[in-house]
Amino acid sequence: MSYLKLQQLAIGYGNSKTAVDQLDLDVAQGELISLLGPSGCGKTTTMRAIAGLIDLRAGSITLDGRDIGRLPPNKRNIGMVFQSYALFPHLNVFDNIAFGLRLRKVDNNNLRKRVEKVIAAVGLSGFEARLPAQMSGGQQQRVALARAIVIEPKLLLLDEPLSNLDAKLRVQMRAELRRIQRELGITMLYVTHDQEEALALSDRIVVMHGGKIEQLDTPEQLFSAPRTRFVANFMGYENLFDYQEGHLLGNGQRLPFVVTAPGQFACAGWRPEQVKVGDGQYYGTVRSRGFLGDSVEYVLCTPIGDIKGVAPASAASWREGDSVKFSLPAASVLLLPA
Amino acid sequence: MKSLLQQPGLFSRTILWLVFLFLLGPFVIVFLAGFSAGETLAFPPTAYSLRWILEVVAAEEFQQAFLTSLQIGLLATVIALLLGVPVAYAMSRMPPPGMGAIKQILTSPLIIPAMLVGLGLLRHFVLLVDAPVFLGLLIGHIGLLTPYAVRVVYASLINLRVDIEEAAITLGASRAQTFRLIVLPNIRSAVIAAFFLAFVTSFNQVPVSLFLTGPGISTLPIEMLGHMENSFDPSIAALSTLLVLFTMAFVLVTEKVLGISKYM
Repeated sequence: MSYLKLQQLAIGYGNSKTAVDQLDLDVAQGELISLLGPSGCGKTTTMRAIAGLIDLRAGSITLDGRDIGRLPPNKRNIGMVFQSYALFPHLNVFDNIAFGLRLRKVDNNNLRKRVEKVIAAVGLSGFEARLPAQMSGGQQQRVALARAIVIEPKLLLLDEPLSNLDAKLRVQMRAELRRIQRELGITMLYVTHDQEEALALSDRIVVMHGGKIEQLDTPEQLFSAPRTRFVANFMGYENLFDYQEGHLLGNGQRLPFVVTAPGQFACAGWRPEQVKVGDGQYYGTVRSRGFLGDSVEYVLCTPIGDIKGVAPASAASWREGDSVKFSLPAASVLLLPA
Repeated sequence: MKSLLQQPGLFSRTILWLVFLFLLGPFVIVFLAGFSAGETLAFPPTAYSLRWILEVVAAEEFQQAFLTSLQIGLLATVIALLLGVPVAYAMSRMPPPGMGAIKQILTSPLIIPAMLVGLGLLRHFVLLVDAPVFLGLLIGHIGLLTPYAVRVVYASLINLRVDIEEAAITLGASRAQTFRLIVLPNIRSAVIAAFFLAFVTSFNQVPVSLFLTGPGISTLPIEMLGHMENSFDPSIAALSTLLVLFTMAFVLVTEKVLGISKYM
């Protein structure tokens, strides 16, 4: 039995064409699901529609057995953490967090207890009297999270919550989000364009493209077995080629490559780290090289187009313009039917 | 040795002082004349006293006009804000098609000579429906002040993030609660600044009032104008001095407390 159920959602802005179309999604209680995709893919639109900040054109949203798709946003009891945090600048940390409880007419004793509890949970004890402008980005982020969870929402929506933090803090907050989510058992929908973040954080990931779901899977499945070219590319398969009758195609040229697996395939792909530069049956010309530490990443110019591969740093002596061998291992190839 | 004009900054500093002199000089003359002890307006006065200051404070026609100015100023300002704040909010949050034109129309009273507004109101409203003088004056001032209110509040609203309103709504606030609890506290200083700006504008207003005052009802600047036509004693200088001090105190306090200049 699903906890959050989106059925045939269609969403659009004004008179423009629909930004999201025929979207179906089932989320279990306590699950952390990411909506992943490039900007303009409809992930934020979907989230805003669930929050009620955009009207649905068609479809239904069921949350905990109740149809909320036509409820006003302030009646949905859904918490939301905004990309910019959206803290109330004139209220201090305590009053920011207490805002939702005050609207719910929670009595003063109870309110104080609940606010102090979430402040402790996000590690901000002692900061109650600070104004948002007096806090760092990471601290503001925690206030935004505390403000959204203190109302005990049925669902927590997070819109790229970590994108304004620096890299180190982002990884730290990621782990903390996961911990808080586990402790509270709260169902979360997490919007991001960062696949690494989605992979590290999610129970399942929805990859969106052009207002539709491309693939819905666990992080492991998504990483190792993307089902479409778009997802494959997004998951790091940067070398993707059309495949036909024992050849890779590109630039109107053909490169022999024999697939031994059974089935019909139209596309073959490798991650850069799966393409070995320095040895193999193919030749390419070095277009550029980039030192990565243990290895060197090469972009090779080949008849069917550029191919990205790596070589161990100790053996990578080729420079721009050199001709070099490379291999496309049959063992690691990703084959897609279309 | 360098000539004087080659000294760094001397030229611009000279200009600065000349501009100050040009702006403040007349006021100094009026100020001194206001404390004259003589019978006629003269500069420099032969003797100084508080005679004329006390006289204008005690004069009934000035007291009456001052009260009218105060009433019109406060009423018109409050109504202009009640109209202007919602208009500014709508303009900033749900800009209608043709927003550029709307902005133009709302600022046009700042561009169109106020005299035309006064004359227009007189011919096409006051004379047409035989409106009471006070009402005509009030409407004229409201029309004049609303654009100020809209502009000042709008400038503050477009700098206020929209997502804090959305956050309030997801936390359970209605639209009205969001406006009262989130928007209003954040534009408070702009609303207060608009209040003072509009009030001072109304209080010193001549061209519109000129057409709209009538028998028995006059604002202070109009009363002063009338007085000046008939007599040449230093009472006008004394009154002007009081008014300038009053207005300056007003603006200084507002600027100190709220920093209104950032909205203009």
